[in-house]
Amino acid sequence: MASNDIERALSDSAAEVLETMFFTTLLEDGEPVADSAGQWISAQLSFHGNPPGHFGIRIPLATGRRLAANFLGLEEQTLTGQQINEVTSELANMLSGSVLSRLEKGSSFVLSQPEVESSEAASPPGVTAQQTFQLQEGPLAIWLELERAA
Amino acid sequence: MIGQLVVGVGDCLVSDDPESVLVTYALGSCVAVAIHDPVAKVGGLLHFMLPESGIDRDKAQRNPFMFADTGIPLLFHSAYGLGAQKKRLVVAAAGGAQMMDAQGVFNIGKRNCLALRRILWKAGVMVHAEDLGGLVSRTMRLDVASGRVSLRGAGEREQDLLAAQSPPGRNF
Amino acid sequence: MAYNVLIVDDSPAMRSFVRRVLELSGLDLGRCLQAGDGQEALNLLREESVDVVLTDINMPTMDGEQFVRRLEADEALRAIPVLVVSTDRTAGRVRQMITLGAKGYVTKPFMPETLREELERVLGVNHGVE
Repeated sequence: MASNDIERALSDSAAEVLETMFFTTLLEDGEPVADSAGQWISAQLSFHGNPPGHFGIRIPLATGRRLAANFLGLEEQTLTGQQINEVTSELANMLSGSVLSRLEKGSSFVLSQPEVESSEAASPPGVTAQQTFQLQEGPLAIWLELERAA
Repeated sequence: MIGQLVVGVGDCLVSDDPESVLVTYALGSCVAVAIHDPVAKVGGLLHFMLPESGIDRDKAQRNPFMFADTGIPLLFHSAYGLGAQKKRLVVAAAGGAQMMDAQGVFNIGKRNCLALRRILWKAGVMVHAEDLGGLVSRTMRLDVASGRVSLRGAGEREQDLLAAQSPPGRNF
Repeated sequence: MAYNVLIVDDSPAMRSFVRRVLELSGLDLGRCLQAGDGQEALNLLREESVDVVLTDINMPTMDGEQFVRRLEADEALRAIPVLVVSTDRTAGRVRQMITLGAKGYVTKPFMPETLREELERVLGVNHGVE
Protein backbone atom coordinates (compact mmCIF):
# COMPACT_ATOMS: atom_id res chain seq x y z
CA MET A 1 0.00 0.00 0.00
CA ALA A 2 1.57 3.26 -1.12
CA SER A 3 2.46 5.63 1.71
CA ASN A 4 0.88 8.61 0.05
CA ASP A 5 -2.38 6.63 -0.20
CA ILE A 6 -2.22 6.26 3.55
CA GLU A 7 -1.37 9.93 4.08
CA ARG A 8 -4.26 10.96 1.87
CA ALA A 9 -6.61 8.58 3.71
CA LEU A 10 -5.55 10.02 7.07
CA SER A 11 -6.10 13.63 6.07
CA ASP A 12 -9.35 13.04 4.15
CA SER A 13 -10.74 11.06 7.06
CA ALA A 14 -9.65 13.65 9.61
CA ALA A 15 -11.36 16.41 7.62
CA GLU A 16 -14.52 14.36 7.14
CA VAL A 17 -14.97 13.37 10.78
CA LEU A 18 -14.03 16.77 12.18
CA GLU A 19 -16.25 18.75 9.82
CA THR A 20 -19.40 16.67 10.29
CA MET A 21 -19.55 16.01 14.03
CA PHE A 22 -16.93 18.26 15.62
CA PHE A 23 -17.73 21.44 13.65
CA THR A 24 -14.09 22.21 12.99
CA THR A 25 -11.51 21.55 10.31
CA LEU A 26 -7.79 21.25 9.60
CA LEU A 27 -5.84 24.50 9.60
CA GLU A 28 -4.18 25.54 6.37
CA ASP A 29 -0.40 25.62 6.04
CA GLY A 30 0.91 28.80 7.54
CA GLU A 31 -1.91 29.38 9.97
CA PRO A 32 -0.82 29.92 13.56
CA VAL A 33 -1.00 26.70 15.55
CA ALA A 34 -2.48 26.40 19.02
CA ASP A 35 -0.34 25.78 22.07
CA SER A 36 0.09 22.10 22.93
CA ALA A 37 1.59 22.21 26.40
CA GLY A 38 0.29 20.09 29.24
CA GLN A 39 -0.95 16.55 29.55
CA TRP A 40 -1.85 14.47 26.50
CA ILE A 41 -4.35 11.63 26.16
CA SER A 42 -4.42 8.79 23.69
CA ALA A 43 -7.01 6.37 22.37
CA GLN A 44 -6.10 3.22 20.52
CA LEU A 45 -7.83 0.22 19.08
CA SER A 46 -7.14 -2.92 17.07
CA PHE A 47 -8.90 -4.06 13.94
CA HIS A 48 -9.39 -7.33 12.12
CA GLY A 49 -9.20 -6.56 8.44
CA ASN A 50 -7.14 -7.32 5.41
CA PRO A 51 -4.48 -6.72 6.73
CA PRO A 52 -5.28 -6.43 10.45
CA GLY A 53 -3.57 -3.85 12.64
CA HIS A 54 -3.79 -1.11 15.19
CA PHE A 55 -4.87 2.51 15.13
CA GLY A 56 -4.51 5.36 17.56
CA ILE A 57 -4.79 9.07 18.16
CA ARG A 58 -3.05 11.39 20.63
CA ILE A 59 -4.23 14.86 21.59
CA PRO A 60 -3.50 17.33 24.38
CA LEU A 61 -6.12 17.06 27.11
CA ALA A 62 -7.01 20.72 26.42
CA THR A 63 -7.72 19.82 22.79
CA GLY A 64 -9.80 16.84 23.90
CA ARG A 65 -11.81 19.17 26.10
CA ARG A 66 -12.48 21.62 23.26
CA LEU A 67 -13.41 18.87 20.82
CA ALA A 68 -15.68 17.20 23.38
CA ALA A 69 -17.43 20.54 24.03
CA ASN A 70 -18.05 20.89 20.29
CA PHE A 71 -19.29 17.31 19.90
CA LEU A 72 -21.60 17.29 22.89
CA GLY A 73 -22.78 20.89 22.42
CA LEU A 74 -21.75 21.79 25.97
CA GLU A 75 -19.51 24.39 27.61
CA GLU A 76 -15.90 23.29 28.17
CA GLN A 77 -15.92 24.07 31.89
CA THR A 78 -18.87 21.75 32.55
CA LEU A 79 -17.25 18.64 31.06
CA THR A 80 -16.03 15.76 33.20
CA GLY A 81 -12.87 13.78 32.48
CA GLN A 82 -15.09 10.84 31.66
CA GLN A 83 -16.96 12.78 28.99
CA ILE A 84 -13.68 13.89 27.41
CA ASN A 85 -12.42 10.29 27.37
CA GLU A 86 -15.67 9.01 25.88
CA VAL A 87 -15.65 11.57 23.08
CA THR A 88 -11.95 10.92 22.39
CA SER A 89 -12.73 7.23 22.17
CA GLU A 90 -15.52 7.88 19.68
CA LEU A 91 -13.26 10.18 17.66
CA ALA A 92 -10.72 7.35 17.37
CA ASN A 93 -13.49 4.92 16.45
CA MET A 94 -14.86 7.08 13.65
CA LEU A 95 -11.44 8.08 12.33
CA SER A 96 -10.31 4.47 12.13
CA GLY A 97 -13.55 3.46 10.41
CA SER A 98 -13.14 6.22 7.88
CA VAL A 99 -9.42 5.56 7.25
CA LEU A 100 -9.89 1.82 6.85
CA SER A 101 -12.87 2.22 4.55
CA ARG A 102 -10.64 4.30 2.27
CA LEU A 103 -7.69 1.90 2.40
CA GLU A 104 -9.48 -1.43 2.38
CA LYS A 105 -12.38 -0.64 0.08
CA GLY A 106 -15.17 -3.11 0.07
CA SER A 107 -14.22 -5.00 3.19
CA SER A 108 -15.97 -4.83 6.51
CA PHE A 109 -13.71 -5.00 9.52
CA VAL A 110 -14.27 -5.30 13.23
CA LEU A 111 -12.94 -2.56 15.47
CA SER A 112 -12.16 -3.20 19.10
CA GLN A 113 -13.45 -0.67 21.63
CA PRO A 114 -10.87 2.10 21.91
CA GLU A 115 -8.95 2.40 25.18
CA VAL A 116 -8.17 5.86 26.44
CA GLU A 117 -5.28 6.71 28.72
CA SER A 118 -2.87 9.47 29.65
CA SER A 119 -0.07 9.63 27.22
CA GLU A 120 3.30 10.98 26.34
CA ALA A 121 3.37 13.24 23.32
CA ALA A 122 5.59 10.82 21.41
CA SER A 123 4.00 8.19 19.21
CA PRO A 124 4.58 4.45 19.54
CA PRO A 125 7.65 3.23 17.66
CA GLY A 126 7.54 1.26 14.43
CA VAL A 127 4.18 2.38 13.09
CA THR A 128 3.30 2.13 9.41
CA ALA A 129 2.15 5.74 9.15
CA GLN A 130 1.63 8.72 11.38
CA GLN A 131 0.67 12.33 10.93
CA THR A 132 -0.06 15.30 13.12
CA PHE A 133 -2.81 17.64 12.02
CA GLN A 134 -3.26 21.14 13.36
CA LEU A 135 -6.74 22.22 14.30
CA GLN A 136 -7.95 25.47 15.82
CA GLU A 137 -8.42 23.40 18.97
CA GLY A 138 -4.84 22.10 18.95
CA PRO A 139 -2.87 19.23 17.42
CA LEU A 140 -4.32 15.83 16.55
CA ALA A 141 -1.78 13.05 16.00
CA ILE A 142 -2.95 9.92 14.21
CA TRP A 143 -1.01 6.69 13.74
CA LEU A 144 -1.71 3.49 11.91
CA GLU A 145 0.05 0.15 12.10
CA LEU A 146 -0.73 -2.52 9.53
CA GLU A 147 0.40 -6.05 10.32
CA ARG A 148 1.83 -7.98 7.46
CA ALA A 149 -0.89 -10.02 5.74
CA ALA A 150 -0.47 -13.75 6.30
CA MET B 1 -41.02 47.22 -2.80
CA ILE B 2 -43.00 48.43 0.20
CA GLY B 3 -41.30 47.73 3.50
CA GLN B 4 -38.06 46.26 2.12
CA LEU B 5 -35.30 46.63 4.71
CA VAL B 6 -31.75 45.98 3.62
CA VAL B 7 -29.34 44.15 5.92
CA GLY B 8 -25.81 45.04 4.93
CA VAL B 9 -22.59 43.12 5.39
CA GLY B 10 -21.85 42.68 9.08
CA ASP B 11 -25.36 43.81 9.93
CA CYS B 12 -28.58 42.50 11.49
CA LEU B 13 -32.23 43.54 11.66
CA VAL B 14 -35.22 42.17 13.54
CA SER B 15 -38.79 43.20 12.91
CA ASP B 16 -42.36 42.56 13.95
CA ASP B 17 -43.80 44.71 11.17
CA PRO B 18 -45.96 42.54 8.91
CA GLU B 19 -45.29 44.88 5.98
CA SER B 20 -41.52 44.28 6.16
CA VAL B 21 -39.32 42.15 4.03
CA LEU B 22 -35.72 41.80 5.23
CA VAL B 23 -33.19 41.31 2.47
CA THR B 24 -29.45 40.89 2.26
CA TYR B 25 -27.30 40.81 -0.87
CA ALA B 26 -24.08 39.37 -2.20
CA LEU B 27 -23.55 36.56 0.26
CA GLY B 28 -20.27 35.21 -1.00
CA SER B 29 -18.27 33.57 1.73
CA CYS B 30 -20.47 35.39 4.28
CA VAL B 31 -23.41 33.58 5.87
CA ALA B 32 -26.95 34.91 6.37
CA VAL B 33 -29.14 33.52 9.14
CA ALA B 34 -32.89 34.13 8.97
CA ILE B 35 -35.09 33.36 11.97
CA HIS B 36 -38.86 33.56 12.27
CA ASP B 37 -41.44 32.95 14.98
CA PRO B 38 -44.69 32.12 13.18
CA VAL B 39 -46.81 32.72 16.27
CA ALA B 40 -45.37 36.08 17.37
CA LYS B 41 -44.72 36.97 13.71
CA VAL B 42 -41.25 38.23 14.49
CA GLY B 43 -38.40 37.85 12.04
CA GLY B 44 -34.68 38.54 12.02
CA LEU B 45 -31.87 38.45 9.50
CA LEU B 46 -28.13 38.47 10.22
CA HIS B 47 -25.32 38.73 7.65
CA PHE B 48 -21.96 37.82 9.21
CA MET B 49 -18.53 37.78 7.60
CA LEU B 50 -16.16 35.91 9.90
CA PRO B 51 -16.37 32.97 12.26
CA GLU B 52 -14.63 34.16 15.42
CA SER B 53 -14.50 37.49 17.20
CA GLY B 54 -11.42 36.46 19.16
CA ILE B 55 -9.15 37.65 16.36
CA ASP B 56 -10.29 41.25 16.81
CA ARG B 57 -12.13 41.98 20.02
CA ASP B 58 -12.21 45.74 19.44
CA LYS B 59 -13.97 45.26 16.16
CA ALA B 60 -16.36 42.80 17.79
CA GLN B 61 -17.23 45.43 20.41
CA ARG B 62 -17.96 48.02 17.74
CA ASN B 63 -19.72 45.61 15.41
CA PRO B 64 -20.70 42.28 16.90
CA PHE B 65 -22.68 41.35 13.77
CA MET B 66 -19.50 40.89 11.83
CA PHE B 67 -18.73 37.62 13.59
CA ALA B 68 -20.72 34.40 13.98
CA ASP B 69 -19.99 33.94 17.68
CA THR B 70 -21.14 37.42 18.68
CA GLY B 71 -23.74 38.03 15.97
CA ILE B 72 -25.82 34.87 16.23
CA PRO B 73 -26.62 35.13 19.96
CA LEU B 74 -27.49 38.82 19.47
CA LEU B 75 -29.81 37.99 16.57
CA PHE B 76 -31.70 35.55 18.76
CA HIS B 77 -31.83 37.83 21.79
CA SER B 78 -33.06 40.73 19.70
CA ALA B 79 -35.87 38.56 18.42
CA TYR B 80 -36.76 37.49 21.96
CA GLY B 81 -37.01 41.19 22.75
CA LEU B 82 -39.83 41.48 20.24
CA GLY B 83 -41.66 38.48 21.65
CA ALA B 84 -40.13 35.55 19.76
CA GLN B 85 -39.68 32.28 21.64
CA LYS B 86 -36.71 30.01 21.10
CA LYS B 87 -38.66 26.77 20.76
CA ARG B 88 -40.91 28.30 18.07
CA LEU B 89 -38.13 29.77 15.98
CA VAL B 90 -37.69 28.47 12.45
CA VAL B 91 -34.11 28.95 11.23
CA ALA B 92 -32.76 29.15 7.69
CA ALA B 93 -29.20 29.81 6.57
CA ALA B 94 -27.43 30.48 3.29
CA GLY B 95 -24.02 31.46 2.01
CA GLY B 96 -20.57 30.29 3.03
CA ALA B 97 -19.55 29.77 -0.57
CA GLN B 98 -15.98 29.06 -1.56
CA MET B 99 -15.24 32.30 -3.38
CA MET B 100 -12.45 32.48 -5.93
CA ASP B 101 -11.60 36.02 -4.95
CA ALA B 102 -11.04 35.41 -1.21
CA GLN B 103 -8.76 38.08 0.18
CA GLY B 104 -6.11 35.56 1.12
CA VAL B 105 -8.12 34.47 4.16
CA PHE B 106 -8.10 30.75 4.66
CA ASN B 107 -11.22 29.03 3.33
CA ILE B 108 -13.52 31.52 5.01
CA GLY B 109 -16.75 30.20 3.49
CA LYS B 110 -16.23 26.77 5.00
CA ARG B 111 -15.12 28.26 8.34
CA ASN B 112 -18.26 30.38 8.48
CA CYS B 113 -20.48 27.34 7.83
CA LEU B 114 -18.71 25.37 10.55
CA ALA B 115 -19.01 28.26 13.01
CA LEU B 116 -22.73 28.57 12.26
CA ARG B 117 -23.36 24.88 12.83
CA ARG B 118 -21.19 24.73 15.95
CA ILE B 119 -22.87 27.74 17.55
CA LEU B 120 -26.40 26.58 16.76
CA TRP B 121 -25.63 23.05 18.03
CA LYS B 122 -24.36 24.48 21.35
CA ALA B 123 -27.35 26.80 21.55
CA GLY B 124 -29.69 23.85 21.07
CA VAL B 125 -31.09 24.90 17.71
CA MET B 126 -31.13 23.03 14.40
CA VAL B 127 -31.39 24.73 11.03
CA HIS B 128 -34.67 23.92 9.25
CA ALA B 129 -33.47 24.66 5.76
CA GLU B 130 -30.14 25.71 4.33
CA ASP B 131 -28.23 26.45 1.17
CA LEU B 132 -24.66 26.55 2.43
CA GLY B 133 -21.34 26.08 0.69
CA GLY B 134 -21.00 25.77 -3.04
CA LEU B 135 -19.50 28.35 -5.32
CA VAL B 136 -22.29 30.85 -5.98
CA SER B 137 -23.03 34.16 -4.30
CA ARG B 138 -26.64 34.53 -3.12
CA THR B 139 -29.30 37.04 -2.08
CA MET B 140 -31.64 36.10 0.79
CA ARG B 141 -35.08 37.52 1.57
CA LEU B 142 -37.26 36.99 4.67
CA ASP B 143 -40.92 37.99 4.66
CA VAL B 144 -41.77 38.93 8.25
CA ALA B 145 -45.51 38.30 8.04
CA SER B 146 -45.32 34.82 6.57
CA GLY B 147 -41.80 33.60 7.42
CA ARG B 148 -41.20 32.79 3.78
CA VAL B 149 -37.47 32.72 2.95
CA SER B 150 -36.31 32.95 -0.63
CA LEU B 151 -32.92 32.82 -2.26
CA ARG B 152 -31.52 33.93 -5.55
CA GLY B 153 -28.14 32.67 -6.71
CA ALA B 154 -26.14 34.93 -9.01
CA GLY B 155 -27.56 34.56 -12.49
CA GLU B 156 -30.42 32.34 -11.29
CA ARG B 157 -34.14 32.72 -10.58
CA GLU B 158 -35.47 33.28 -7.09
CA GLN B 159 -36.50 30.11 -5.26
CA ASP B 160 -38.12 29.38 -1.93
CA LEU B 161 -35.82 27.99 0.73
CA LEU B 162 -38.66 27.95 3.26
CA ALA B 163 -42.32 28.17 2.32
CA ALA B 164 -44.67 30.53 4.12
CA GLN B 165 -45.53 29.26 7.57
CA SER B 166 -48.88 28.84 9.22
CA PRO B 167 -48.74 28.51 13.02
CA PRO B 168 -47.49 26.59 14.85
CA GLY B 169 -44.88 26.03 12.14
CA ARG B 170 -44.18 22.40 12.92
CA ASN B 171 -46.32 19.38 12.25
CA PHE B 172 -44.20 16.63 13.75
CA MET C 1 -48.02 11.67 18.90
CA ALA C 2 -44.97 11.33 21.15
CA TYR C 3 -42.35 8.92 19.83
CA ASN C 4 -40.50 6.66 22.27
CA VAL C 5 -37.01 6.05 20.94
CA LEU C 6 -34.34 3.46 21.81
CA ILE C 7 -30.69 4.30 21.02
CA VAL C 8 -28.34 1.28 20.91
CA ASP C 9 -24.59 2.00 20.76
CA ASP C 10 -21.63 0.98 22.92
CA SER C 11 -20.28 4.54 22.78
CA PRO C 12 -21.85 6.79 25.45
CA ALA C 13 -20.63 9.84 23.51
CA MET C 14 -22.42 8.72 20.36
CA ARG C 15 -25.60 8.00 22.31
CA SER C 16 -25.43 11.57 23.66
CA PHE C 17 -24.96 13.00 20.17
CA VAL C 18 -27.87 11.04 18.73
CA ARG C 19 -30.04 11.97 21.67
CA ARG C 20 -29.25 15.65 21.13
CA VAL C 21 -30.22 15.39 17.46
CA LEU C 22 -33.55 13.86 18.51
CA GLU C 23 -34.15 16.60 21.07
CA LEU C 24 -33.39 19.41 18.63
CA SER C 25 -34.99 17.95 15.53
CA GLY C 26 -38.57 19.02 16.25
CA LEU C 27 -39.67 15.41 16.77
CA ASP C 28 -42.32 15.04 19.44
CA LEU C 29 -39.98 13.00 21.61
CA GLY C 30 -41.47 10.85 24.35
CA ARG C 31 -39.05 8.59 26.23
CA CYS C 32 -35.47 8.36 25.00
CA LEU C 33 -34.03 5.02 26.13
CA GLN C 34 -30.43 3.89 25.75
CA ALA C 35 -28.63 0.53 25.61
CA GLY C 36 -24.97 -0.36 25.19
CA ASP C 37 -25.41 -3.51 23.12
CA GLY C 38 -28.02 -5.69 21.45
CA GLN C 39 -28.67 -7.87 24.49
CA GLU C 40 -29.29 -4.88 26.75
CA ALA C 41 -31.58 -3.48 24.08
CA LEU C 42 -33.62 -6.68 23.86
CA ASN C 43 -33.97 -6.73 27.64
CA LEU C 44 -35.26 -3.14 27.57
CA LEU C 45 -37.70 -3.89 24.77
CA ARG C 46 -39.30 -6.59 26.91
CA GLU C 47 -40.28 -3.92 29.44
CA GLU C 48 -40.81 -0.77 27.39
CA SER C 49 -42.89 0.18 24.40
CA VAL C 50 -40.74 1.81 21.73
CA ASP C 51 -41.70 3.41 18.40
CA VAL C 52 -38.32 3.44 16.67
CA VAL C 53 -34.86 1.98 17.26
CA LEU C 54 -31.54 3.53 16.22
CA THR C 55 -28.71 1.00 16.38
CA ASP C 56 -24.98 0.72 15.81
CA ILE C 57 -23.55 -2.50 14.37
CA ASN C 58 -20.13 -2.91 15.98
CA MET C 59 -20.94 -3.65 19.66
CA PRO C 60 -19.75 -6.21 22.20
CA THR C 61 -21.90 -9.05 23.60
CA MET C 62 -24.50 -8.82 20.81
CA ASP C 63 -23.78 -6.80 17.69
CA GLY C 64 -26.28 -4.86 15.56
CA GLU C 65 -26.66 -7.60 12.98
CA GLN C 66 -27.62 -10.19 15.60
CA PHE C 67 -29.88 -7.69 17.30
CA VAL C 68 -31.83 -6.90 14.15
CA ARG C 69 -32.19 -10.62 13.36
CA ARG C 70 -33.63 -11.17 16.83
CA LEU C 71 -36.02 -8.23 16.44
CA GLU C 72 -37.31 -9.52 13.13
CA ALA C 73 -37.76 -13.02 14.57
CA ASP C 74 -39.92 -11.69 17.39
CA GLU C 75 -43.60 -11.21 16.51
CA ALA C 76 -44.03 -8.54 19.16
CA LEU C 77 -40.99 -6.52 18.04
CA ARG C 78 -40.69 -6.91 14.29
CA ALA C 79 -43.01 -4.00 13.50
CA ILE C 80 -40.72 -1.46 15.17
CA PRO C 81 -38.77 0.43 12.48
CA VAL C 82 -34.99 0.22 12.82
CA LEU C 83 -32.48 2.81 11.61
CA VAL C 84 -28.85 1.65 11.51
CA VAL C 85 -26.10 4.16 12.42
CA SER C 86 -22.66 2.71 11.72
CA THR C 87 -19.09 3.39 10.60
CA ASP C 88 -19.44 0.48 8.17
CA ARG C 89 -20.15 2.07 4.82
CA THR C 90 -19.63 -0.95 2.56
CA ALA C 91 -22.44 -1.61 0.08
CA GLY C 92 -22.57 -5.22 1.19
CA ARG C 93 -23.25 -4.34 4.79
CA VAL C 94 -25.91 -1.76 3.97
CA ARG C 95 -27.67 -4.27 1.70
CA GLN C 96 -27.42 -6.92 4.38
CA MET C 97 -28.97 -4.78 7.11
CA ILE C 98 -31.79 -3.61 4.85
CA THR C 99 -32.44 -7.20 3.81
CA LEU C 100 -32.54 -8.19 7.46
CA GLY C 101 -35.26 -5.61 7.98
CA ALA C 102 -33.68 -2.23 8.79
CA LYS C 103 -35.66 0.65 7.29
CA GLY C 104 -32.82 3.15 7.15
CA TYR C 105 -29.02 3.46 7.30
CA VAL C 106 -26.81 6.41 8.23
CA THR C 107 -23.02 6.14 8.05
CA LYS C 108 -20.80 7.71 10.70
CA PRO C 109 -19.65 10.40 10.72
CA PHE C 110 -22.86 12.25 9.89
CA MET C 111 -24.19 15.78 10.18
CA PRO C 112 -27.11 16.22 12.59
CA GLU C 113 -29.33 17.25 9.66
CA THR C 114 -28.58 13.98 7.87
CA LEU C 115 -29.71 11.87 10.81
CA ARG C 116 -32.84 13.99 11.17
CA GLU C 117 -33.71 13.57 7.48
CA GLU C 118 -33.24 9.81 7.52
CA LEU C 119 -35.26 9.46 10.73
CA GLU C 120 -38.07 11.53 9.24
CA ARG C 121 -38.03 9.37 6.13
CA VAL C 122 -38.24 6.19 8.22
CA LEU C 123 -41.08 7.56 10.35
CA GLY C 124 -42.89 9.10 7.39
CA VAL C 125 -42.97 12.63 8.85
CA ASN C 126 -41.21 15.91 8.18
CA HIS C 127 -40.25 18.90 10.33
CA GLY C 128 -43.01 20.76 8.66
CA VAL C 129 -41.36 23.58 6.85
CA GLU C 130 -40.61 22.49 3.27
